[in-house]
Amino acid sequence: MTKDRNIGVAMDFSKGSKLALKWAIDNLLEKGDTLYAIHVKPPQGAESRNLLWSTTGSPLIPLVEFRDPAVAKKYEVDLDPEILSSLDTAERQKQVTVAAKLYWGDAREKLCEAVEDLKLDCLVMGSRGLGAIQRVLMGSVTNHVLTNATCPVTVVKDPGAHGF
Amino acid sequence: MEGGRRVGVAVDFSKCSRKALKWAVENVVRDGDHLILVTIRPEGYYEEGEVQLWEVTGSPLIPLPQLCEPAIMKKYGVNPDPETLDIVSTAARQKEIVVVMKIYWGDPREKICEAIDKVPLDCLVIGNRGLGKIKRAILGSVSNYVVNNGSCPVTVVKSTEHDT
Repeated sequence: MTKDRNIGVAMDFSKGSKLALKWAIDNLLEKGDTLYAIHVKPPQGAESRNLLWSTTGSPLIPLVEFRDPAVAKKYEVDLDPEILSSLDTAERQKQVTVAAKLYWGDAREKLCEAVEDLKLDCLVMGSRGLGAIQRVLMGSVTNHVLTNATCPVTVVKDPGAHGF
Repeated sequence: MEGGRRVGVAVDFSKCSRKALKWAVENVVRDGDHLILVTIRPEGYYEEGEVQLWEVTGSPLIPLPQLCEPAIMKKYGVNPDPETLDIVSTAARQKEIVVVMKIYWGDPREKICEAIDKVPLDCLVIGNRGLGKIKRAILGSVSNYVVNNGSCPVTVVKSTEHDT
């Protein structure tokens, strides 16, 4: 029963977001779905390319392109081998389409925008990203997206969070 | 990747929880999974001896055929609405899953988190609008609490604006 859904995973390369990605691949994704790895970079003034994409975000970058170090460099994203390997596995074993999309701006807003933009059926994210405060149970981005996104949001707990 | 997971859905028989249940059935539940409906009743003044026992541990896992029997459910003080029963009965026919319900008595926020640990659940789906506005203002939302404190990935399914 393929439904061809659009599943988004918020990716900031933190441990939590890697866990979220794995969870989505193991538990949510089905053949025919599209997996969007969404990364939000802080707004950067100078680069003209960024200015162009600051409203709409980057174009959709298929997996085959963004695993290329040259492309990653162009987008100023550090490729994480663990993430690439999860995405690769997803594409091959589950037969899903994998694409990345970058946004520049505030992660809270951009993730909510992405839900509409990419017509996500579901968004999966970690509970805490790279924020400095390690004591809180749930980061501010997750909190905001949980409240404001228009699709179901799955929060995968950060390992080592309070109580684990 | 086959099932065998315990997928929990928090139900309170509201429109929003039915939406969450439908979402879980359509998007997460796979052949081989156990679909566990968790519902929380207020702590009470029940005369039946059995209920007093279950207030501590929660009810036994109630299988689907019993759920559909009003006479049996009366004993638990739970009245599943026909639409909810229809959703799970259809799911049980279409996929190879085991459907059960577990009833707890007490505070929904704590008890749902307890269910995650004790049943145990591999993931939980919950709606965001069960409590009325005033209760929510005083107690805070159940879904928020569960996302923060539950020990498994939690998916919050939003009710649409027009729902009461």
